Order: sequence, then structure tokens, then C-alpha cells
Amino acid sequence: MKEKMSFRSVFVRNEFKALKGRNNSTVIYLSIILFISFLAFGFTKSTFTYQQKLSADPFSNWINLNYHSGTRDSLRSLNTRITDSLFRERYHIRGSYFYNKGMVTVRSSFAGESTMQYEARTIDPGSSVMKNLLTSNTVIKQFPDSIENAFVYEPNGVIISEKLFRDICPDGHSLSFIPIKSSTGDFVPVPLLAVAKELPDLADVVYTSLFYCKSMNTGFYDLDNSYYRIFVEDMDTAGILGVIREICSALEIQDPSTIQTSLLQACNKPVMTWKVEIGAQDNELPVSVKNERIATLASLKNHRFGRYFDISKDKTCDNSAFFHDYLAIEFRDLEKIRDFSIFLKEELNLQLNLEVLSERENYLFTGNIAVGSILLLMAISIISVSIYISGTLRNHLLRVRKNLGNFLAFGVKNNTLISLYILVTVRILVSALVPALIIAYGCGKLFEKYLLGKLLVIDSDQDYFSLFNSWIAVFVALIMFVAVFRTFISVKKILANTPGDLVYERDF
Amino acid sequence: MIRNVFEIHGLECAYVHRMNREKNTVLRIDNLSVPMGKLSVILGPSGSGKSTLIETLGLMNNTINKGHVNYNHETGCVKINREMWLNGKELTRIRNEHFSFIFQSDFLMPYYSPEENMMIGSLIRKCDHRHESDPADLKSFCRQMGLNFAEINSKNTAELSVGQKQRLSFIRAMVKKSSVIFGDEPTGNLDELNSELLLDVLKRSIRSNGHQSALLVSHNILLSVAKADFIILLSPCGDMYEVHRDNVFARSPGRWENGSGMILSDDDLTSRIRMVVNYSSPARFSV
Repeated sequence: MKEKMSFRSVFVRNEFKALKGRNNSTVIYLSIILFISFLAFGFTKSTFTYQQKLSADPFSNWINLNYHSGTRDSLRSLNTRITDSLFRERYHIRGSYFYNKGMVTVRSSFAGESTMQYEARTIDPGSSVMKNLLTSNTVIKQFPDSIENAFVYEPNGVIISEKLFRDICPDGHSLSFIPIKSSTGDFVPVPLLAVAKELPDLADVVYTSLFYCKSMNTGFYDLDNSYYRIFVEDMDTAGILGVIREICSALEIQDPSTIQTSLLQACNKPVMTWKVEIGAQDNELPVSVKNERIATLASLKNHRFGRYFDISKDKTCDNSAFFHDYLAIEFRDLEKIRDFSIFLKEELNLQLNLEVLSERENYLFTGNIAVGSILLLMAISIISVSIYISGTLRNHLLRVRKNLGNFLAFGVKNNTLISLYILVTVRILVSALVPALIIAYGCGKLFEKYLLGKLLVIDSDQDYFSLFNSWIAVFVALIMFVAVFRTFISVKKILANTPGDLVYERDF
Repeated sequence: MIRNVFEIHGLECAYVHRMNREKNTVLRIDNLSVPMGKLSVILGPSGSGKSTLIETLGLMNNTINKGHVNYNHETGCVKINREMWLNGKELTRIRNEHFSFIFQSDFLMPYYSPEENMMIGSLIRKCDHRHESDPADLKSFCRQMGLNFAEINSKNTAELSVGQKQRLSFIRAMVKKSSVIFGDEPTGNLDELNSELLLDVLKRSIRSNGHQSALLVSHNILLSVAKADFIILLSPCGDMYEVHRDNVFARSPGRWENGSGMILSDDDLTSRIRMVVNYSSPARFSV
């Protein structure tokens, strides 16, 4: 006689054994259904995630409208209307702002002379696109402590693209400034705030309108002719002082005033900046002579010297002399973009670029297809599992209905039998779910690694198979719920008969 | 003083057709008392309502159209009537605490072990009422029924013979230790020897426990007359079957006595029962 034998344990153990079928056939069939569902689900979910990422991308969810003399009034009117929350809600608009585009010239090495050009654009520090840019996973490096307030911390700084960062520092990890060439040809070390994977409008540099305004007005650096500022890629202060004295001596400058102004990081290398007063004793030294002397300084090949100018710390700029280039409109999602383009055409006579429109609608369409596929898969799986479980259970209950009648005659409560059958169903489902989940995960990852990962390289960080997420939890919970519900209905229907009707098989 | 386990008053049993809701009365009993602590057997032709009576008294089906039954047990009395079926919990409680059943088919679960099948009745009772059963009972009943517990338990239930399974279902009912054991042709699948053995074991159990009663339906007239303490003969009257006081026979030493004081020997009773039972169609007795 086994100890601790109880009706519940005997019933659950034996009914589980009977319902799981000969050679676990029920569990295996269920596992196969669930395995296929999980596999398809994992791939569809990752497609959806990728699509969602694209749709939620602050760089995809917006449109740009050209700002010129022909559209100026319409765009100003539109910008005013967008401040109305009802209008924003109607077209799912998050916000709008004017911006400018430009080019910046960056010196490829700090003491060298070669330069490269990059596209730049302005960004509103308080705009949602800026928030999205900084809160999304696009930022890969950040140099101030508080990136959220990057432009408040340094309105004269810039955020650059990963591409630009790699161009300047192929192997480096740390950079605190980039040398940008001014409109007059001088280089200015501009504080670097962050490096992002990509920037809006495919730009490589984003900066504030203040910075843009100052650069357009040739006022973003201090040009002080009595001092020359130099980069020195060397940390030996005494050695550097010696070199400077030597050079200054060669330049016939006695007792030059030299000040170490700051220590910067350039591609993992510390860079000293020095202010060198050349010709202080000789106030009338012509500028051309000064330039000649500093050119001599820069030509010393054994020392990495380079001339630069401090960035202007002004926080105001007169922008009345120039106009914006674009009005950017950012959307919460793209569902109303077609309606919005109709509105632009009819109300403001503004034409939205059809290519942009269809691209945005494609995002929306493929996103909806992906969601539809997931929901369809979930529905098919749930229905399949539900039909299989209820069919198996119904056949089993019809086979043992006389025995169940006998149990009822012996005094088992209906609710006890219902709850025990629900427990058995849950056990069977769990027995099928766990291996299906593990095998689907393994197969999905192998498939992803050895086939899709090699054939479809879209994004190195993109998962092609995503199984463990909140959707799968909802999916499993739904399967459980439906299976439990079907079990409840099937058992209750059988037990609605009296014990006598079950035992003597009356009216089935 | 003889106590009665069931006291039937003006009982009329009918089945309601599920489709057209027509009532079909199958049994009428004006007054009948089934004695407590006795082996009572119901005899009658096929279709006479024997199983209906067992189902009604055992709370397996609500066939009561009129009347009621008083069920007396050790600690009280329960009135069984049509309205009682509105309280499902009470029905289950009474079945769980007081009744056991043996059917013509064994109704063993083929995928349960023989031991589990024998214990299930006791486990059902224990499940809700902390009823403790003695494991020794199981082996003792197996021995009494001519079964080797270890040998039986080493097989699958599905592998057992029909007779073995029927005996297991009898043991299942016995180990539950209930107040009333109902049997619907419990010896139908057994040979003479094992049928007699089953009734002997049942009688011994009843005698050793003064409050236990058994009410069986049987077609085996000779065995019933030989083993029963009380015989209820369902005989035709009009288009249905009835129990008259003259058709209820209580065993006295060496003879049977009915409600009218008529004294019959075993042989007389047997031939009287045969006369009723052989007229199997109720229609033949229509007035």
C-alpha cells in the first residue's frame, strides 16, 4: 500500500497518463503544433520588431517641407496650426520645427592639414526628435555626464555620426572635440557632446541654431591676433616649453608668454592646448610676419604642433539675416500621413514628396502586415491547440463516461472532477509547451545564425528571431486560458448528466 | 426492534422523455420498509423498475414523481423526495458518506492499477471527509473473495478476467465502509460459486456491522432466496409494476413470511417468484 495515496493524486496521475496518449502521442502532436507556431512566431515577431523600430525611428517618422519664398507663408501658417493639440491629434503629429542644413569641414588629424567635408544640420535642443535621438539606442558614445541636457550644457557643441567619428578616430574610443574649419579657414576645436549611429537627414553633424547662426556670421571663434593657440600632441610639458622657447628664439622672440590652457582627449591621446604670445615685445609686428613665424612652428616635424582658435562662448546671435531651410514635422505614427498630405495639398497648396509619402506608407503597411501575421498565427495556433485538446478530451470523456458516473455515484463533487481535469489539461499543455519552446528557440537561433544572418544582413544588431518577449507570454497565457475554458465546458457538459444517466448511458 | 433503512411512502417513479417531456411512470410503491442491517434483494421481470428503485434510493437519478422516502442512518434521517434534487451539494454529501454501488459492469478504470481501482471508493470518501480506511481491509477482502492481492496487483486492470474485475468492483464498494451498499445485478458476470461467495462476504460484513445494509437487484432467484434476509418482488399491476405488502418477504428461521402473515417455504417462494418473473412483459398484465 503506497503512502499518501489520495483521490486527487491517483486521478490526476492516471488521467494525465491516459490523456497524454500511447507513447505520449497527444503531447508530441501538441508539441509539434506549438513548435511550428513558436518558430513562425519568433521570426514574425522579429520582423515586426524591426518594422516597429523603423516606424518609431525619429529619423523615419517625419517629413521635411522645403522652406523658400514660395512656401514661407504656408509653412509659417502650418507651424502655427501644429501648436493646436486637436490638429496634432487629428494627424498624429508629435511636433514641428524649422531647421537649416549646411556643410562643415573637419580636419582629419589634429596637427595635419588634410580636411574632409560633412553634411550638418541644426536641431532644436528641446524638440522631440532631439529627445528621441538621445533616448533611443542610437547614441553609442556620450561625453558630457548628462546627455539629456547636452546642448544646455554646451550650446556650442556638436553631436556627430559614428561615420565621422570613425573617420577621425579609426581606432579611438575617446574624443572630446573635433577640429572644424571656420569660414575664414581657421580651425576651431568644437566640444563633442555625443556620437550617434545615425543622425536625422543622414547628416554627420548636428548642432544648435545658435552654432549655425554664429558660424554663418563668422563669429563662432575668437580671433585674437596677439596670441596664437597651438595643439601639442605631447604630454611632456618641460619638453614642449623647451621647444616653444627654442622656436620663439629662432623667431627672435624673447621670453614668450606661454600658458597651458587645457588638456583635451583626441582619439585616446591627450592633447595639450597652449597659448603662445608671439611678438608681445614687438607690438607692431605685422600679421603676415606672425603667420610666417607660426608656420615655421607648425613645420617642425618632430613635434605635432597645430594652430587653432578658441570657440566663442557667446550664447546669442542675430539670425535676422538668414532664413530657415526646412520645416520638419514629426509624427507619432504614420497612420494619418495620407490624410495629412491631402490636407497640405488642399488647404496650403503644399505638395508632399510622393516618394517620401509612399516610403512612409510602406513602413506602415509592412508594420501592419507583420502585426496581422502575428495575430493570425496566434489565432491559428490557439484554435488548433484548442480543437486538439477539446477533441482529445471529449473522446476520452465519452470513453470513460460510465466510470465518471460511477465516481459521481460514489460521491465525487462535479467541481472536483472539473478542477482535476483542468489540472490535467494544464499539465499536458505544459509538457508540450516546454519542449516546444526550447526546441523552437534552438532551431530559430541556429537558423538565424547559419542562414538568415548570412543571407539577409540588414543590420548587424538586428535579431531575426525573437521568441522570449511579452507577446509570447500573452500567447501562452491565451492558449492556457482557451484550453482551460474548453476543458471546463467539455467536462461540465458531461457532468450535467446524473450519475444514473452516465452509468446506464441514457440519451447521449 | 427492527429499524428500517428506507421507508417508502406513496412513491411513484417516472422517466421524462428528454425530447417531448412525456412522463412514463414505471414503478409505484405505496408503502415499503427496507430493514436496516439486512441483505435485501429486489426481484422482478426485466423492465419492472428494479434498477429504477435502486437509482432512486441511491440518489443516482431523480425519478420521483410522487411520494417520498425516509432514509434512516446511524445518526439521523434524510427525507428523499423530488425537491431534494435541487440541492446538489447535499446529494453528493449523502452519496459520499453513506452509499456504495456495485453494478453489473465493473466500471473499473482500465488505466488505473488494480489496487487504485479497489481503493478509489475509499479515497473518494477520504477526499472530502478525512475518512480513514484500513489498508489491511483491502487484502482481507481480496483473500475472502479468493483473490491474491499481490498477484492481482502485479497485473494491469485491463488484463484481468471479467470475473476478477467484478470482484474488484465489489471490493471497491466494500472498502468504502458505507452504510448502504446498492447492487444492480452484482453477480451477473460471476459464476455460481463466486456469486455465492460474494453474497456470503457481503452478509458477513453486514452482520459484523449492525448498521450496514445492502439492497441488491438480482435475476438469480435461487441464490436470492438462499442468501437474502428480505425479498421485494416487483409484480405487474395494470401497465406498471408495484410492490404490494404480499410481495415483500422477510426471512424467518427456515421459512418466509409476507405482510399478510402468509408463511412460505424456500421452494414455495421460489415458484411464486418464478411465476411473476417469467411474465416479462408488463403489457400482458394490462387490465
